[in-house]
Amino acid sequence: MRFRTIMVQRIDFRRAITTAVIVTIAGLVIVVIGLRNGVQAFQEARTGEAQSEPAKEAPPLSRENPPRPETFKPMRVLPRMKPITDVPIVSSADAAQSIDDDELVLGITINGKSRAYPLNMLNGPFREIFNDELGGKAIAATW
Amino acid sequence: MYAREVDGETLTFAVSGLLWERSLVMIDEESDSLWSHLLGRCMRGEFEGHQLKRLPGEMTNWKKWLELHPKTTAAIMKRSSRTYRRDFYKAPDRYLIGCERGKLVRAWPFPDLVKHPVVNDRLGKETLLIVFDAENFTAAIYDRTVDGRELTFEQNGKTLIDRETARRWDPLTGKSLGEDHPTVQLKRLPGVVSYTKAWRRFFPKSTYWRAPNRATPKESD
Repeated sequence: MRFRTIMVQRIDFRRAITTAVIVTIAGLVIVVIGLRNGVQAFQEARTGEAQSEPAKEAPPLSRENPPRPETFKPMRVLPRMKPITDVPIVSSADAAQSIDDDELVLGITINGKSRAYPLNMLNGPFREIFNDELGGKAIAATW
Repeated sequence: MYAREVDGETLTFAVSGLLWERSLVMIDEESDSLWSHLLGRCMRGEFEGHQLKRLPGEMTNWKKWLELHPKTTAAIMKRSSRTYRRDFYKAPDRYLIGCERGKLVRAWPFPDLVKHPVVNDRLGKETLLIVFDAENFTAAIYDRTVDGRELTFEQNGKTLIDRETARRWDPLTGKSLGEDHPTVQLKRLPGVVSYTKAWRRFFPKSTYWRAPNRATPKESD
């Protein structure tokens, strides 16, 4: 009698672990696929050349339907990101070690102070916007 | 490139995870308002209707930027892409530089600027100068009225020359050249280098400048 009880407990234990593992893997797969699709949607959005049609419910922007708050129908594709506020800033000599000559940069000069944001480092859904300060002004470096 | 100050408050922007019309929606940490990335306009929330001030950021390559601004600093992170190099513009018809001044919006497509790299234009009451460096695919927009006088620019080798005062100018810095005049700096206006398709969607009332056809007059027989 005691032996049987232990067996039952063991089987249940194994089943529980198997189920938990399967559920976890399935969950991870769903999250990964979701994130991949989200990231892809973002990248397509960047170029404005997505193959997929925009959401049906909202009429596309046009001359008759210019961008106004009432036409604003955003779709969630990724979770909300944390803002980037602490971007490492280096001198031009140090930057020259990290940036190639032919890489595109977004540059800005404010009150005599210049700064370059290499687009290859300011790109993708996880770092599309840098909250920065330059020449005494708070700026959002984004493209 | 935007100023983060709105109504005296400094906002902190993040990626909201939302897309609208296939374009990024930003969110600010202070009020959770949603902002269109390309319009710079608050579409929903406490700041609805507010417009972020666009700053005259410019797109060029690192070599050119360093040459123009030797004392520049740079924001350095690990690369998240390798797309943005000189050959990014191998299909120039996908890009343009656009400018929004009040209610008026105009764009200068890159293929037109390749053909015609110095444009004296006018948008409403504003007098604009658009210059394009085809070698570096760098476009800049300036106000071409200097000390109350409207200037008309022409290409002069690698520099510009204005018809009215015959001064020479550097097209990429907007500074006057030469010893015989004090240096004057043209005011740079905020232009946005954008994908043509995205610009068309978000600025449906935009006008587009076109390079005049350089129809060479037929020689008579």
